Amino acid sequence: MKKSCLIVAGLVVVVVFACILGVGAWWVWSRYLKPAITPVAERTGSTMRETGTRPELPSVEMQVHSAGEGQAFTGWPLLVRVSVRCPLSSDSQKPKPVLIAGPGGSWQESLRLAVQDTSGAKVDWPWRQPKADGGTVTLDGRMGIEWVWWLTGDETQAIRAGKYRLTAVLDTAKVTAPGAWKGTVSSRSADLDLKAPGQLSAEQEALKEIQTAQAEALGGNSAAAVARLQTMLGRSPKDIEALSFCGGLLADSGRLEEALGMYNRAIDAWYESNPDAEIEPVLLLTERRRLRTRMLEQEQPSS
Amino acid sequence: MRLALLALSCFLAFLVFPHRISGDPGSNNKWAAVKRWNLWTKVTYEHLWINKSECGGHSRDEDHEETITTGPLEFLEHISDDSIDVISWTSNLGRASGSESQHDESVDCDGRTITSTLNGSGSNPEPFFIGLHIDLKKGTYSLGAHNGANYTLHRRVVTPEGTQSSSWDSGGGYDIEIEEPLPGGSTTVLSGMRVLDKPPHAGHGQKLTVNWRLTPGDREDVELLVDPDQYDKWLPEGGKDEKQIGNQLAIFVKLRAKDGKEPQQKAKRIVFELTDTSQIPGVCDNYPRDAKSDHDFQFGEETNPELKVTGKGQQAETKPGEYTEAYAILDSYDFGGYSTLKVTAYLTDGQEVTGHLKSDKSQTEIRIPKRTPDSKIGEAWKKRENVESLSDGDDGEETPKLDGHNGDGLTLYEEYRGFMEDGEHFRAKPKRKELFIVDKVGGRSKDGIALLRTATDLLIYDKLLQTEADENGVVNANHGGKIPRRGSNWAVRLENNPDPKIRYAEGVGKTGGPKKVLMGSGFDPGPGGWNTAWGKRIITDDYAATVAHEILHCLRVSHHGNTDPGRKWWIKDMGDRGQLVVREYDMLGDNQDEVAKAGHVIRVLTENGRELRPDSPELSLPTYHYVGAANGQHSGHEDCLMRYKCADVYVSPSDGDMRYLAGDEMTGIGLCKDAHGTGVNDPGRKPRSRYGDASAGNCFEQPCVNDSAH
Repeated sequence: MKKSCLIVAGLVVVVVFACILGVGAWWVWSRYLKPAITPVAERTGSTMRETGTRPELPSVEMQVHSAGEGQAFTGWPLLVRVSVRCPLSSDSQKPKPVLIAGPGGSWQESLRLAVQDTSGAKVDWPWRQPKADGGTVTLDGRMGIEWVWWLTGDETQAIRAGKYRLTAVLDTAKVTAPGAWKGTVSSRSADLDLKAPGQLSAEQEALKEIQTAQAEALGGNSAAAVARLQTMLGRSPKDIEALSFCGGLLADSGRLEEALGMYNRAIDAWYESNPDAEIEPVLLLTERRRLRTRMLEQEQPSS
Repeated sequence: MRLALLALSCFLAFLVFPHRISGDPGSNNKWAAVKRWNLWTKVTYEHLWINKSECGGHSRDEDHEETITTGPLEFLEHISDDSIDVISWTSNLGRASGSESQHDESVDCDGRTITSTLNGSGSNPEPFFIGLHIDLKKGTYSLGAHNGANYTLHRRVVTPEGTQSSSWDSGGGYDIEIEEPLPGGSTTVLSGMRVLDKPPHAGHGQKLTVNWRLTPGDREDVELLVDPDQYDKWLPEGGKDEKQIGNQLAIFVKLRAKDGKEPQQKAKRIVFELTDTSQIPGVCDNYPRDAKSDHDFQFGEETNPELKVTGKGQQAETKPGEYTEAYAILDSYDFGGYSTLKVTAYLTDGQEVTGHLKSDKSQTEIRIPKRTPDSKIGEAWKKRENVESLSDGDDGEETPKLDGHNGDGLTLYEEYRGFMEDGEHFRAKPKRKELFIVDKVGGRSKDGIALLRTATDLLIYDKLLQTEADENGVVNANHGGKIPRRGSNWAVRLENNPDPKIRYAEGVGKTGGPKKVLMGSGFDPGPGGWNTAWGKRIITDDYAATVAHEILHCLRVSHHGNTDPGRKWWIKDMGDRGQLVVREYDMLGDNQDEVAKAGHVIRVLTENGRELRPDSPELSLPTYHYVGAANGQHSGHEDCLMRYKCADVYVSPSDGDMRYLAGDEMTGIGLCKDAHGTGVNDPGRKPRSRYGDASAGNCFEQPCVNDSAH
């Protein structure tokens, strides 16, 4: 009995002291330990992102050629053009040459076009590309990379209509070539609303034909492109873009006289549609002169 | 078991009352910091005494009040070793003064009443010794003083027989010895009241009530240090929009004794106050559009949860408490924000202490960011750019020289506040002239801009989004307040011509106003055309040169001359003698009758003198041709961006009716520095110089980017 009383009394004492301990601990904490302010070591310090130095990265520029800005039609070809240029010095903006290579050697392996749907999920489209010239390339203020991906009208017809985001990416992170630039840089993304076309206007019809011819030319079928453009010019004989594009294709295939005729028609159409312009169609004139020079050079040996 | 419980009890007691057992070193320090004390005491004695006898009685009512004053008790010594830790202060200037009154009334058995009144006052003739000792080990203090003055007393006794008066001097006094526990907490005031029972030499053998108050004789010399974190290098930043915080400045303040030690006093509250805070629209010069004005620095409620924020974020103060340090976080909303900070600590003893910059005691109105009094620009940026001597309104850049107008139209402050480009902020370069371009064309237009950059040595920012300039291209539309500004600064807008039939590039507008270059659609065939453009390519081609050429027009650069006959309509026709001829007509627009009248026969030759037949395939007539002439648009330095290179033919210098076919010419990618013809225009060229010297050369010294100069 005496022993049990002692145990009970002991327990009571323990409980009482536990309460005292709690109250006492709180008192001690609030009186002595609770910081009036956060200790210096735990404070958030000042923040500053600015370094005064701008990043020196290669630039990747992308242009999407489709039905219009931000719009593409199924059944139309879709062309995406990308330019890659060397970085500029953050201070002087002078070109800073960089060597671009790929994991397997060719720079072209490091350039890709990413497509995402509205959920951000990666989408695989059957992009076509020209044949790469391979190897490494040193980008400087004079040399750059021009590249194009395209889909034919049949291929876009097979894509589900919807909204997509396109981004060109130069990714050399896995490149091991000595002296090559390593890193990842992306173009500004382009949002594309791909949908079935409605009734096409005359301008849209012309644009579709031009882009289809471009896709055909890119695919190596210049003859089909020329035929398409000539058919189009039968309907619109003064379409300057079709004339100059056709002229270029004919010149490339060695049909110089026909090409000259196309350039002449393009220049005539330009002057007729811009009679009061104070400037000249310099690129057309320059191309024609270049073509004429070729013709004269070819003629020279026989004359 | 009982022993165990006892041990547990002791342990718990130790935990609960650790300060009692282990002492409070911080609290002890405060006593050591007191150099002198002021003492005030009041000793009172009130006594009512009534004694009734069988046939009468006696009553006495006494009041005695005495105060002790002294000069300060000066620090005497601090004796401290393992066994003792006592600090002593003394004064030998104790003085006592007081008053005494007494009223006696007695009635004897015969009914006779005798009243006696006693009044007197006085002070002690000699100062006396007072000592204060604080025993830090015991946690007590003791005050010892001799009390008692020399009084001149006057007594008046009234009896039935008459009245008697007498006076005398009374001296003596008594000693007071008080020992009390030291108060805890932050207080440094020793005060109390104690009833002394029969103090020695009190004379009356009665109880005296002693009140005393010892206060530190001199206020502790404290200062409030304000220490903005990374003050030397911190610069304000804006957010992605006006609502977002750009960056933050942590401002630490600390109360400190001027001797560098921990202060004995604490602040009841500490107030951070901003004045003259900038309210410049936007977060930087060009973003966002349609910007609003708000304080560029604010104490945010969310970022300062332990502070009470008022006045639209311009004031923040600590919540009630006791502080020796505190901090506040200043939210920055503008890359060019500025303000003045004042911090005040209100101490427990009523003092107000104005904070000063930790590194500069003279600066109590602290400039945020760190800057000179006459500038709104952060010193860190000025140092970085080595422009510490320039004023905020300076616009004197000389590099590149260009047309000789110094500056680029942006003041030093505007360059410091900076710009948004493709969503990223940058501060401009104050020693270089700069040009802004809103490029909606993109792609290969960049090659043209690169040419321009190389040719002019300008710093060109060409990634501005449409939202990073106003609708006219102004890049410093966000301005106001006290910031210096020379005027609007217009970016060159590079746009696709909205009219799909316009297939040329054209620069519209000039420095001094809105300016843009309109690019015709489908204008860029790529280097070599669509089918051959791909892969590694030389990018300084005709398209790039055209872009640069048109932008240079917007920068007030003119052509090399203006004498080219220009566009002509050529046909093959029958000549006077029935032979085929080439007839050249002026372009007169739609009036074909006048065109016919203006025609004249020309001869067309290759440069080496071979004449082309009118029906030759190289001419493929009829068609338009561009005819160049000496000292015209094609003249001068061949490798100049401003030189035309599109002419099909040029006029023979010796025969106005003779045309030479022009072969290929270099695509100019530089800017000429004089009018001399080079390359195809070299005077010594064989068979001849095509177009000769320029009428207006030296394009290198023509561009101007300073909109305020025109």
